[in-house]
Amino acid sequence: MTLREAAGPGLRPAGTGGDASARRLHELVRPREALYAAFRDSWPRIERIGPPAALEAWSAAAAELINAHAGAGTLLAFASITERLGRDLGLDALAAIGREAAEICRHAGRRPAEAALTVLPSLCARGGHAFVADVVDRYRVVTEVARARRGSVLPLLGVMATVGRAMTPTALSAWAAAGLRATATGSAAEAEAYFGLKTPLSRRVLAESGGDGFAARERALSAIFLALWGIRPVIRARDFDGGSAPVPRTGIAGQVIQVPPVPPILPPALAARYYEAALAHVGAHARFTPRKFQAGELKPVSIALVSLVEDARVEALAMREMPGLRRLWGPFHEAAEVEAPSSFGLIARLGRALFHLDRHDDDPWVEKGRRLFIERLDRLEDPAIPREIANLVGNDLGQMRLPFNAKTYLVEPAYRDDNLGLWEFADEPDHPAEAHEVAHDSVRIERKEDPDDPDARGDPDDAEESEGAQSATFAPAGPVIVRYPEWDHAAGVFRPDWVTLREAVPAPAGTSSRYAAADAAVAARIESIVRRAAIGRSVRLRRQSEGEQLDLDAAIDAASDLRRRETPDPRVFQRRAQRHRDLAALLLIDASESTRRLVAGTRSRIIDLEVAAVRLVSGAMAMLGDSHAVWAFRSAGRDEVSIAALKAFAEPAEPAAERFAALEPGLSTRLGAALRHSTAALAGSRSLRRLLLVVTDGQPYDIDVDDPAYLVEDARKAVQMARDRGVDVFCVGLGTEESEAGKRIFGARNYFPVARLSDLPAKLAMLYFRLALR
Amino acid sequence: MTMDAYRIGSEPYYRSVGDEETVFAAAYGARMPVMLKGPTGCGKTRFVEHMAWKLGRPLVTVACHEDMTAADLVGRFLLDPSGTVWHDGPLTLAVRHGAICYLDEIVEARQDTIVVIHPLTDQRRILPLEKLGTVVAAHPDFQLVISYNPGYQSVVKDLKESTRQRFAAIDFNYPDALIEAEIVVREAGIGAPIAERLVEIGRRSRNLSGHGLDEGASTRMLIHTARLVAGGVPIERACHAGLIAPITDDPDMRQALRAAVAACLQ
Repeated sequence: MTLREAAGPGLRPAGTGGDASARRLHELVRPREALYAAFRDSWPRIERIGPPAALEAWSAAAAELINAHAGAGTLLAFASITERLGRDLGLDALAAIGREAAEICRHAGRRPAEAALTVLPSLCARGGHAFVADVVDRYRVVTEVARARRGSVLPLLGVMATVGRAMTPTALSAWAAAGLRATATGSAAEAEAYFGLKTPLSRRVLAESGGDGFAARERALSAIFLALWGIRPVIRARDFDGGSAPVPRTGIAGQVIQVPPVPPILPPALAARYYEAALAHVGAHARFTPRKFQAGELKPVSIALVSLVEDARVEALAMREMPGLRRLWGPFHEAAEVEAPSSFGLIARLGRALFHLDRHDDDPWVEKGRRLFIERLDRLEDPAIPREIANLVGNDLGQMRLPFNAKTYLVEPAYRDDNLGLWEFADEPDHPAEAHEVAHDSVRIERKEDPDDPDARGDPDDAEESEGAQSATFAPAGPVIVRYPEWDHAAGVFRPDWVTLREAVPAPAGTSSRYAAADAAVAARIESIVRRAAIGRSVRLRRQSEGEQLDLDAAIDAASDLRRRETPDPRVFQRRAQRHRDLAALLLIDASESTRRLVAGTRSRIIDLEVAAVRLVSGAMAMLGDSHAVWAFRSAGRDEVSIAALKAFAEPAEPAAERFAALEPGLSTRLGAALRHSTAALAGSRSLRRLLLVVTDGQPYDIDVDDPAYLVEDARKAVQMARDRGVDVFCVGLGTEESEAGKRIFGARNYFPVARLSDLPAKLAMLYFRLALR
Repeated sequence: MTMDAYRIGSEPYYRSVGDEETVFAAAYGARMPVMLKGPTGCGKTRFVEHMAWKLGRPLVTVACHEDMTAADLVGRFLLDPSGTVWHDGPLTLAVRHGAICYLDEIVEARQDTIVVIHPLTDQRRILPLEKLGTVVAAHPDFQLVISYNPGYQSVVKDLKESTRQRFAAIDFNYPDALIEAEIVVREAGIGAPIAERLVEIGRRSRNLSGHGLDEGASTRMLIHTARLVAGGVPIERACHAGLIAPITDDPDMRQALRAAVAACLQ
């Protein structure tokens, strides 16, 4: 039998034998009759896509699908998307996708595998351009979810077309990882709700990762804004549920700039510069729009026109100062939708004409607007201009009897903001729904960001998250170690034996690599800072080649050498230096429930950042032989303050990562008792310097205390008493910009807010310097 | 010992921006110690050189560093074949011969080093040489000038109160845009339009100081960049080589600076 007969009419014989997978695939398909007919039909078209090596990989992937019992439907779906997308994506990428689908099938079954393939075309489209590189990476996220939560694959695929497309693979993967983590101990239904984007947590994580890697770029974007406008912005990802509504525009809500996902209609070159352009526009408003416009009785179309002229006015002013902005904004105007045969199209066209003032427009209405604007170029600083021009052109537009629907109006080009932030609306029923929504959003976001707001802890989102939190580190109600007094600031007295401290027994836990390994560069910097720290007694170094003073003994030796006509030893100086390190340090980790929150603008929880920071410092200290311990604490009322020793002073080496990984947030923050216990441990040390470094996320809090100042004042007292006993207390406040409570407790000079791990070295350097000064 | 090596031959260019020359001249008249505060590269050192030239005094400049000891300022015994010989440090030299002693970036020096200037900065005007067991009375023309940068590592490095209260202070900052452009034109020999663009970029970069950058681009950096442009480097490339690359390695900050450059250029 020849190869041609064996393989069927589609497969050409290849003498080199480089088609083993293709032949094997045909052998696998052949016995399945219904499948075979359809498959034989597509094969020639797939084969033509080529090249042969990629065809081999593709065939292997298809065979893998059959072996995974993915079913005829899945295989045909694979063949059909290959025909459709093969030329854009290439057979190699499709082979990789096929392998992922087979993996999905092995873990979650046929239907999810087939659905995963059917959703592919919608994943690939953006602005008419297929993007290849990250489609496979997106697929890997689905596979990850299939491995851990088979039931969640279908809900996930349901939102993939919208959500998955708006996010970078990294952001998507982070969102999925957060979901798997949050629902690790929960029910299947919980996980399905998360991946179907039905829980508030899921939407919040999505908004914070912001799609399109906004989170990853946030710092750079803020810096650009600050550089251009001299204003420090608060930028947040706009809540967008990935539904069918069009992606909204940027919103300005008070001090908060809310950025949406990148609108999918933008071509990639513009998508890459979208945030930069959008924020530059907001900056122009911040600088040149002096006050909000009063909406009063204005019709929506007038509001749109005034806003449009105002946009053009502030941009023109901004470009006088920074002419390069024209190159940033210009391409968006070229790409804007200006041909629509409606009022929207005309308005967008006017927007473009006001941007490119040197271009004549054929439409008389647009041309009139352009002329009116040019006539006012010499007094462009006048904020009344938009109203003037809008009045003059608004009437004409009204006479054209073009309908204007405020509900579907989208500002063009896409980088401009939604204009709601420019207006002061009275309570009329037309617009305010959106305006209120924005206002509501900003309040909600600000609340979320405020670690000192005790109400935030009652947030239903948080409650929902905490259900799965069974910490391995803190066994319930460990043995009582000691009782400590507590300072009642209202009464001005110590309440004796008020707080019961229990020892928590560290338990082994499963996962070890819960947080990303810290950057090697950061670790190296921290080590060098800890190493250089001049902590120790100063010693006299004799017989040095350089120094402040002559070393008398060496000088006499040298003088006698000279008299004997021998060569003297030139090292005749002495100097003082600090040599021996003599430090005992205790690193105290706040493991309360509030550390479960994500660090603003990142995907990591505060506790993960805490642990990563502590491990960096602890690792550096261990390397240098500094005596140190690592404790974690939490509380549930005054009868149960638990302290867990993750590393004891006596342990010589860095403890295993598992012990840190077992640390899960839970319960409250009774800081004072933990400080007293740590002080007691350090005060017994005979080291020259005793350092207590508290790593926390902000405010002390406990369930049995109503007065927010009570625990702050108690902790402050505990810090003062620690200082009296010769212990230097510092606090690294993680995940918060500033904490008034932190400053109050530790003193502003001893409190170091750290928002990112990469900021830690700088703060530590400062801390060690303080330590050396005293 | 002649001080000729420390005399300034020709007039150093300095563009006065306020009353700093008057204040300095008056302080010198009273032989009052002067402290110059301001960010790096804004013209402090140039100002001292200019004033030393104007007043006709030699100028002894010491760049302070953290390993500097009192002996490095005052002097020390060295060994020679006949025994030990005393060798004056730069401060002692200035005190004996009536020069202006300029301690640049004084906060970099260790606290125990800084205190040796105390007897020189009150009405005693003496420098005790502990090792020699003698006291040098300052020459009538001697004046002490120090400079430091309050923004730079201000939290960890600071002057003691007992030191700072001995000085009259002159605050320096980057000059206004027009004056700064004038300085860039004069120092780099380029046209005003390019200088004005560079100054705009510099001002944007200063917005970032304290928020990712320790300091923005100094006037000195703008002059460097302008000199690169004058040497035929295209302006965008010159901005990278003269401003962005030296100032930070942080990719986010570099991106912000690049955006500022792009926005400010035509």
